[in-house]
Amino acid sequence: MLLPSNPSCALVQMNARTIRDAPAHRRMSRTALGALPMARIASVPQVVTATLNEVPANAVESAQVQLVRSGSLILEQGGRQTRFDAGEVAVYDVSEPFEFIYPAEFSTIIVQVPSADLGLRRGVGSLTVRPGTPRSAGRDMLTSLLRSTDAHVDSLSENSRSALSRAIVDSVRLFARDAAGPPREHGSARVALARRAREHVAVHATDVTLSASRIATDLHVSVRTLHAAFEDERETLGQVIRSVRVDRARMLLHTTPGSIGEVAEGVGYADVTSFIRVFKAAEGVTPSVWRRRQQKVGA
Amino acid sequence: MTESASVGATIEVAGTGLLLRSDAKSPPLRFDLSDVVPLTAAEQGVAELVPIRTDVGVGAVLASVLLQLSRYDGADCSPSDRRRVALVVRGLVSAVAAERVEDESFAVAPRQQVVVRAMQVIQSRRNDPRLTSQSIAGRIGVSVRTLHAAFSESSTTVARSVRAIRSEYEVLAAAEYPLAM
Repeated sequence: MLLPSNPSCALVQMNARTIRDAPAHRRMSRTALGALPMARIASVPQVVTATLNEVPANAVESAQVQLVRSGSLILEQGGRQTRFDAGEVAVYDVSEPFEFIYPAEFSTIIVQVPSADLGLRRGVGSLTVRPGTPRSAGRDMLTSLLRSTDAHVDSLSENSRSALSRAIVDSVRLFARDAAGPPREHGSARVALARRAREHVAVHATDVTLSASRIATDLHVSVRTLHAAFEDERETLGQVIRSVRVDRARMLLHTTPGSIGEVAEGVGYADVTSFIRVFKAAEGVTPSVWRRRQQKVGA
Repeated sequence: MTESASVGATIEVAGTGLLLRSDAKSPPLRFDLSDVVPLTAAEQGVAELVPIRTDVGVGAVLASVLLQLSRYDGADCSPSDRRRVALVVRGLVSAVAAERVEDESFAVAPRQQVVVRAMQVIQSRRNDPRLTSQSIAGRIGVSVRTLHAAFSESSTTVARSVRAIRSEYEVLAAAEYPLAM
């Protein structure tokens, strides 16, 4: 099935196929934030492949920003697969071949941003988000903007939409800069190892057996070498693991009714006491208190 | 589900500060805009008229962003990051002022309306080299003379406002790391 596309402000032309035998439903709506096209998609599990040969030749070179609201997205581009879970944001080049795999029912928001607006110096191909990126104001501001804009977009005036599109573009720039990280010595094996370790953590964070020794084994290095790779990083490996798990715990606490024990298990802690201790160290309050506060202030 | 402020929560604009008040028991969340070029006097005046509602419009988005940013302290952000974040927040406050200009229930003076609308044009077209007083006046439907008079009452000029917005972004862009990975 070809998803509908408007050549004048199109999201990319894509071919979608469901991957389970089940009653299919696919809901897609489009709107515009100023000059930025925005789409909301909710569907059954599916694989979506870009059909770039059907994109008009005069289409503006763009990046897409995708906020996974529920389910998860596996983005395959440039020979790499990157997984994004609910609440995470993917930024990718839409002029290069890509494939989305949504392994479960999902809903997602996609905003398309012309690469020229992002101030990229080497083209949009340079903009690919690394999983396991440390917590950053840019990422969180972008996530918050996308979510709240999606929630209120129908009541916004044209000018307000345009103002929010500027805010989103600025946040993407900040987010992308954070994801790229500070300038480093090119070819540094340490930097590459730290990056691979972060990616490993992002994929396996919910595995209760995840540890430095396990990661070292999987990456074929010694534990000592692995820890050394993080000496120049902003966080230690342990902090990276805790940060990713706490981020996911916040999402689960915020969006599911599961018990604290279930959330702990869901983010990779076999021991609920350890989870509560780590969460409290990061957020200043226990998960239960945090959830109550969110319910009090949340919609 | 989205993070949003509690029912009745408001955002107060006072000088270069924003205060998000969720309820009487919790301390307000504070956000400082002193790192960036201030709003014009007209935008500031309109934004300060009454606290900003957080259940509709840009105010709802602003509240969500402030709640999210409240997780950060100074150590989490570099100075340039703080400025860029503040720029986004300032832009949202400016957009709230623009919403009020279009809402007849707010008593906004005609010259304030002109400046607030003009600032929206300047921000949206800051990269357009053809941005001039004439083009701004044309876009908001006033004469150039009226436009200049309105900015004068706001203790600035059109050219100064355009330069301030442009140079602020240029400085930040220059400070950004190359995005290539």
